[in-house]
Amino acid sequence: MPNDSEHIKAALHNLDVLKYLLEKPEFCDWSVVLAFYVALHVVDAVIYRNPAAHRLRHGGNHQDRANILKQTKCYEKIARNYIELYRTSKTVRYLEGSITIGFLSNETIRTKFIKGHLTQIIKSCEQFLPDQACQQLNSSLTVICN
Amino acid sequence: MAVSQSKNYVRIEASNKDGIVFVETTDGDRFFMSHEDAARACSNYQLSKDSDKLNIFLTDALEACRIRKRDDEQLKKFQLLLNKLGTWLFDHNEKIHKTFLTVCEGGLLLVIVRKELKYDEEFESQVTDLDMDIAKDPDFSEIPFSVQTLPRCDADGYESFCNFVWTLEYMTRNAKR
Repeated sequence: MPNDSEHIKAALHNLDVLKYLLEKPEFCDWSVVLAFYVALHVVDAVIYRNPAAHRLRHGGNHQDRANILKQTKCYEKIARNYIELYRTSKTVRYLEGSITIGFLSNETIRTKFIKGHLTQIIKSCEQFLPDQACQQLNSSLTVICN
Repeated sequence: MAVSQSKNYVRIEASNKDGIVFVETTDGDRFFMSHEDAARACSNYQLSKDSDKLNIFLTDALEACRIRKRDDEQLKKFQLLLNKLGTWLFDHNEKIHKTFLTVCEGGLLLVIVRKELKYDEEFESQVTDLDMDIAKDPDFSEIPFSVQTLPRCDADGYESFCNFVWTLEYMTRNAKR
């Protein structure tokens, strides 16, 4: 299982891919999926740094990760944004393109999911992460949101 | 019915109705066991003549009780969850086309197919409230549960989210309270 630094590295890589996708309007729906995988790695870095949560997550899956977020008081704000992003990313991944085109506009993706849920998740995770990781994440996120 | 005096032994007490014996284990768990099960445990003890084995025989009988009790409690919680979800779905019926309760990743997954195609921010927020509410409810916190909303889609779309062996469909559209 990767450690917190490796999760942050993966999150930063996914943020780079997300930036690339957002520049291509025709692939904008998949940017929700990328945004979710950024969030997943940031959340896993947070969980890695919490010994109690890390133990619960051992060998876990999406369900275990979401349950830790939902049932841990200090992660509540992360949980709300995370599960909405997760639900929508699954819709985009598993339903056919013709449906998802009418489902989400590029504007909604940017405002609701990138500037909204993803930004909120990263901001809410900051208190649990080292300063350097926060700076790196914020720097990449600022480029994407502007 | 004999009652052991040792604090290390299972305690059993005859109740005054329905042929039921009350049993309290050394760790404080309490069960009701049929006279028949308790008598069988004692009878096995008589045959073995081994004083240590009464506890073993009772423990075997208790294990069966424990499983029944746990199953009963889980069934009760599951029924409570079904009712809670049913109430929520009824209250949000105007936006819902179909709903399924299925299993996914070792937990329960509520699949809600909306009537509209366009992303509905308000509805998604309400679904998140439901999901969080269930996760924090002591009655349901041990049941791994999540929700998947889908925009309007045909069976090919929503069936890919439903386990083909275990899926329930909620029928709330024409329900009346």
